[in-house]
Amino acid sequence: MSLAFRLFSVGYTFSFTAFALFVLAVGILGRKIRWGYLAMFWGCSFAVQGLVLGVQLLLYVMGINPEIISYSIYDLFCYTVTAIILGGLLCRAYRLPFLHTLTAAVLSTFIILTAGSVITDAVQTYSPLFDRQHFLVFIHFYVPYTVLFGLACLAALILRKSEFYRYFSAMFRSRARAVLTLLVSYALMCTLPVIGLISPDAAPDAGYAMFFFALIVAGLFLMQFTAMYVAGQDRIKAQEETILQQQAHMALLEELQQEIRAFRHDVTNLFSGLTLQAQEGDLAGIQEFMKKTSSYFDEKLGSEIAQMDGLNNVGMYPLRSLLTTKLAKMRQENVRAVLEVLHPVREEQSMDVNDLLRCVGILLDNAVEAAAGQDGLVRIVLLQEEKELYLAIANNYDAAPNLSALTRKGYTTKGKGHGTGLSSYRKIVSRYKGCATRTYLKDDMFVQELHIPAV
Amino acid sequence: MIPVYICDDEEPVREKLTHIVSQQIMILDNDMGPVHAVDDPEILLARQKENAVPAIYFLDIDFPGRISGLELAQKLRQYDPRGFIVFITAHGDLAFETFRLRLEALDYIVKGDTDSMTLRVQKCLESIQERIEAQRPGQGNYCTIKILDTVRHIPVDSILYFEAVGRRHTLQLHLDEELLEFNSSLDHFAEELGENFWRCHRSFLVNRSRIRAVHLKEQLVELDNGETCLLSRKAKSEYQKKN
Repeated sequence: MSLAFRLFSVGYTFSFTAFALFVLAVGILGRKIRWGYLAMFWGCSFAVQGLVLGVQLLLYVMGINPEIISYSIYDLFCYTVTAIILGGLLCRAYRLPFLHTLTAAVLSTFIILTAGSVITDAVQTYSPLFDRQHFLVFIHFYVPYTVLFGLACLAALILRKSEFYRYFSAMFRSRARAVLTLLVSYALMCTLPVIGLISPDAAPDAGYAMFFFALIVAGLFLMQFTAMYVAGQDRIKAQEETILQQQAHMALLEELQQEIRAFRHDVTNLFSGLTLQAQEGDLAGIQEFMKKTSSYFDEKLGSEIAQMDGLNNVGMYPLRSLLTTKLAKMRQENVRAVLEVLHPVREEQSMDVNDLLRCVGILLDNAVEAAAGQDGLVRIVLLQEEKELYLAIANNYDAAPNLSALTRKGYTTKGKGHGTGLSSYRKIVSRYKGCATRTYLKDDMFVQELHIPAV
Repeated sequence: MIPVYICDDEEPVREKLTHIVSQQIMILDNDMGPVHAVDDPEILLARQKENAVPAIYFLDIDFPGRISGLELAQKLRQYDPRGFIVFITAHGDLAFETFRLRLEALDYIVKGDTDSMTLRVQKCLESIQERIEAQRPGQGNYCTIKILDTVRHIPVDSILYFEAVGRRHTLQLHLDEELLEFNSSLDHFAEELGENFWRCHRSFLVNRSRIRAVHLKEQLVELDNGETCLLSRKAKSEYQKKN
């Protein structure tokens, strides 16, 4: 066999493993493949494999048997580095937290490598022997890796269609959960090399293959079940929240009703007086009345109606619920709230909904907490423009916050245990390209602005 | 002279307001005027480019069938980021916070009886006068920053320092009483602002005129509001050579 053919064959297996890894990891995350990043990953994985081969070659040239270090160690190193690179690339490509993408990468590495080794073993054990070398190579290398790639594509498609990523992302709601998932995935990934390390001469056979298939299936089932359980828990929590929001909304409506009733009473009284004045021809008196009552309705009901109008313009349901809850909370705490949403807010934003909710939540909580003790006031402005979504949250204060200290990690005016919100807010925003923030004091208000570019 | 524009499609309101504004300018005796009254927002946009900026604008909040006051103000702002915008509205329940924060609108005037309108116009013009006088000393030097679609002119004197944070080309701009964070590169601003700014560290660009002290031992640059920036070894040796 020529050297070119050998190199091509090695390259072929490497490439298809890399493709399969990438496709499956993207499938787990439920996204569309980005070709540029696929190419980048392909290059990186070649570099890693090349590095390992280079080390082995170096040892060989130096006269040391490369097998002095078990192949399993090389594998372990190779897998781990590849998974980290894949995780990093995916993190950049889809702007997801690194922990999230790394777990997907590790899981994908586990599945692909296990499946890959099982398929090659099976092919090598069960295929008849051929006397033509090229044909043998074709059967032993090209077929299994192509099949592997095909399987990965199929699996990715199924994962995406079944919306596995919803369950998967439920595992990353809390840090502890995310770390645990990552550790489990990593342990699964290491099983094969570690077994190789413990008993280097376990001969691959059908039982061995069955064991690994069972391991993949069991591992995936376990993950799916935990994820479904977690997602179920989250759903219950979300429903409870919805109920609370509905109640808050009801309270607002009731308040409005009460005030309309009082208003009706007032108006009836006022008009009977007016009728009398009109009968007497008291023009000056009527003018005085008009002047006094023209803004009466706005004063009485203006803010509630404005709030409702504003909320109705927020089409993004999760954001609307968040705002409803926070407005209700402010009413409870006697903080005056003004919400202005002039134009309908688009459902499609360049920032992920969960991240947007976290940002708004942090800013609102801070604003409510920092608002003046007496006569606290929080103003919320959302403005959908052609090229950006503009968000501003302003609050009044007792003592002006120190802006220069605001970027410092853990800055707070409220004592220990506070001040983590702002730094995580900055962290989220800095993940999105084009997003800009502005913090300033204006007319005795502390204003936090967030600009999110339109999709 | 700072030109004044009044844009409202209802003739009685426009005339009344023109009268009030001209009168108040005369009483205040400052360098505002002449007063241009127009009914069509498009004409206003065309006129704006013929005259000097910054200018003062009194704008109706909506023009039925044409662009809204908000859009008009946004267009005016693109050309005149430092102008003064006052809105005219028929009802008091205007969502003014949006206009105030987004467009830095100054105030709004409710259409109604002459006395209350006069009072409000007087207040607006006085506050514009104050702001113009407050701006004067630092005039001339502005740093232009484009954030998404909004252009801002920031007086160079109010800049403390720039800091590059994170990997994603995020810049933090520290001003007096304000903090901006946006995507840009330090090199860009180092080039634009020239000699008045000192690159005292790979990720810091400091306004020289705002430095209080350079602490060589602690490798810090202290600014006049007490904030500190890092000082790199390279910048330190440069500094020592100069002095």
